[in-house]
Amino acid sequence: MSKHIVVDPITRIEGHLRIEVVIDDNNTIVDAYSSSTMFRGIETILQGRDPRDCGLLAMRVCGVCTGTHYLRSIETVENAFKINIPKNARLVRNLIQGALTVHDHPVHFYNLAGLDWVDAISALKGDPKKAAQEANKWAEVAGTGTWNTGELVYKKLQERLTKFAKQGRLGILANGYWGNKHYKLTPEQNLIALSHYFDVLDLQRDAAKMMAIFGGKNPHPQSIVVGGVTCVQDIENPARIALFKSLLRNVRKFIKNAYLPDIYMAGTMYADEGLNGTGAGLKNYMVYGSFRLDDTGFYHSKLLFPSGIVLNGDLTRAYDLDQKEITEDVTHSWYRGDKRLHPFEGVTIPDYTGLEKKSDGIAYLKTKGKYSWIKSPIYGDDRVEVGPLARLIVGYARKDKRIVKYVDNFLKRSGLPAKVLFSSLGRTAARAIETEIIADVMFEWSNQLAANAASGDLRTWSEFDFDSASKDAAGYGLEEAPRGALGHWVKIKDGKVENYQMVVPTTWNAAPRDYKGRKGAYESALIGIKVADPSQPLEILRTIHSFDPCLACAVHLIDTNGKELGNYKVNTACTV
Amino acid sequence: MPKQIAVMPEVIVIGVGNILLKDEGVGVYAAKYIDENFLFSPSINIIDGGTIGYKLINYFQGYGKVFILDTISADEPGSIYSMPSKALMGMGHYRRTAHEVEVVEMLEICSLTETMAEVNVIGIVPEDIKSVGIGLTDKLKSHFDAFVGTAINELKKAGFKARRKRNKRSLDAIIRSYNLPHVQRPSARRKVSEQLI
Repeated sequence: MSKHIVVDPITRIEGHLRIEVVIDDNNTIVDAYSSSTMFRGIETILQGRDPRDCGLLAMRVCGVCTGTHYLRSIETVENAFKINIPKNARLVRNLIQGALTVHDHPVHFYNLAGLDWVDAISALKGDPKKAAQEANKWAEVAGTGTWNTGELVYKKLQERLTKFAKQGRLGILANGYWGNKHYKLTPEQNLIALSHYFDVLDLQRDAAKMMAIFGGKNPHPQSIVVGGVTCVQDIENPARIALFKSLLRNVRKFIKNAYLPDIYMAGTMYADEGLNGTGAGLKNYMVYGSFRLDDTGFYHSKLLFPSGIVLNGDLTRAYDLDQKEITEDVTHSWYRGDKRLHPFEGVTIPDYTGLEKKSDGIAYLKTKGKYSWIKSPIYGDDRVEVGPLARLIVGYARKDKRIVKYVDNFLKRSGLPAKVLFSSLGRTAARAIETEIIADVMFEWSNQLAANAASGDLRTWSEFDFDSASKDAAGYGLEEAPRGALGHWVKIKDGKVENYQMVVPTTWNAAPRDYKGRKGAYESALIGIKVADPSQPLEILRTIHSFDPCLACAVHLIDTNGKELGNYKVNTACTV
Repeated sequence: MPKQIAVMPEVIVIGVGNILLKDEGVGVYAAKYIDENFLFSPSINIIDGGTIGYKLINYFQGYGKVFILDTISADEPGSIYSMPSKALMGMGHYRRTAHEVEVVEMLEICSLTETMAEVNVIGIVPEDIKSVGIGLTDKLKSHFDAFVGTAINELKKAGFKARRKRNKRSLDAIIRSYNLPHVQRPSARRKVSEQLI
């Protein structure tokens, strides 16, 4: 008898992400459906506006990716206007985007996904002395130093958490699947990772400061404009670049001495999952490419993460990317339409067909028909995955020297074969490896920026004639957000936006089935996973979280889940 | 008296929400409205947090006291709630779902750190957070003053003196400024001076 597991039923506000899986008698997932909401209607907001201002509203669709959307919008318009930006502007944008990445990835690994791999309650039983030795061991495997040395830090953490638990302050400890037998770290290993979980809360502040040095006002960056950047003073001033580098130094130290050793540790303890391909999914990868390394111009420059497509996990072959091959299909999405459309032609007409009638108190998705607010993007005629793993796979298949070096180093030190990459574990490791690459290369960019300014080149903006450029133009901005390929498309007529479309990374990964009934990346990744305890969807979360789902492109209200808050209701007769 | 000499904890007011989805933006408008229309003594930091997500950590850890203006799901649209963070604890469902980390989840994560701010959430129940559009429904507009008033009262309770600025900036003017934002255009003059260098 097959059984259904539903994670996160669609709520009043249409839910953020709902996963419905079917398991067989052995608790193995045999079918999976992903249904989510996604911000839609950006075109209605942006139509008729000055294209130079679109970034300010585009970044509002998502709080986590603000800077990325802002940058993408600006570069989309630059592409439409055929503007190339000065070297300083390119380097500053690389540094802002780099800071964003070294901020997001460690926070994702520890605070958002870490507890899928780390049993926080088990950590309380770990022996601090042994934990200190264990931490040294993994630092050695990683070829780095140890982040937390000595046993004291572990002892103190245990004392603090125990004290808080006694006070009823449970926080993250309250909800979890602690004790589930698919947790594989020892109590000491859990303790090490948990200590980094808290360290990253402090550490990420430095990364946020890095973003603010060149991006200006956090959380909404404003220093990037069509044609370049406006932060001339920060480039002129060597102290600003020096501050950036000193913050980066600390962040990089954490990445090398904490994040990577933990990845080696998890890689070893969860090697079985990696080796049997748990969570691999489509094995088709798409990368738009990101971080321009020279000033040849958009889509011509050499890239840190080269663009391309890899199909069927074949690391010997990468295909060139052509944005014309991107279409969106709505066969299983709650929109009207029967043709696959390129984003330039994209239309969004809602057609909500509802859920099945409730059985056992749950309304299931109508999986034969429409069941998600996300459209299904297709490249050529393939479903593809995007994100850090895609970036490393495509770079590896393209034999990019830098990427091959870092990936091979990881495989050699962990003693694992390349096939381990095709798994949820591999996706998690890829994110860490790419964080290290970016942290290292950001030093090069900081130095290039300082040297360029010192040589007297202070150009930060390319002049253009707005009236002639914006008469009749179309452009696209394709880059890699931390979570994967992000594209904006714009059509401009007589100085105003005529059409604007976005296809965000999570659209590629979280999409439902397509017109041929083929699964999306999440759906495909869940098939074959064995669930230890059907009442605890730990393994489902582990795989879905490994993609770093971002569904924040929606509403943000505090959902009280019906909890009684009557005591806190304010008598609104009060006046100012 | 020693009490008066005591250093006030650094305070920040954060307006949270998605301004592209009608009433979802009410927290952002309210923060801006308070910033434009009131003077506080001692002064207070007021920011537009937008859809800030986990970057909230910076404020939860970097300040002594944090006031969050947000939308909340409760009874009928327009109802206002003011609650300490402990009332919201346990509501986070980040361990059970795959969705993004938000205010409540961030409270739970930060509650186990030594340097956690005292957090107060002032929430209003929205009417429409599904339609795409910048602005508020009439229902929320009619409760906007009470929402702002609640926030001001909370700040007064926390020991701040508040007075209105002479020139009033209306809610409509605030919403307009969000609806028609402009990126600063690099000036030609700056360009010339750069070329001279």
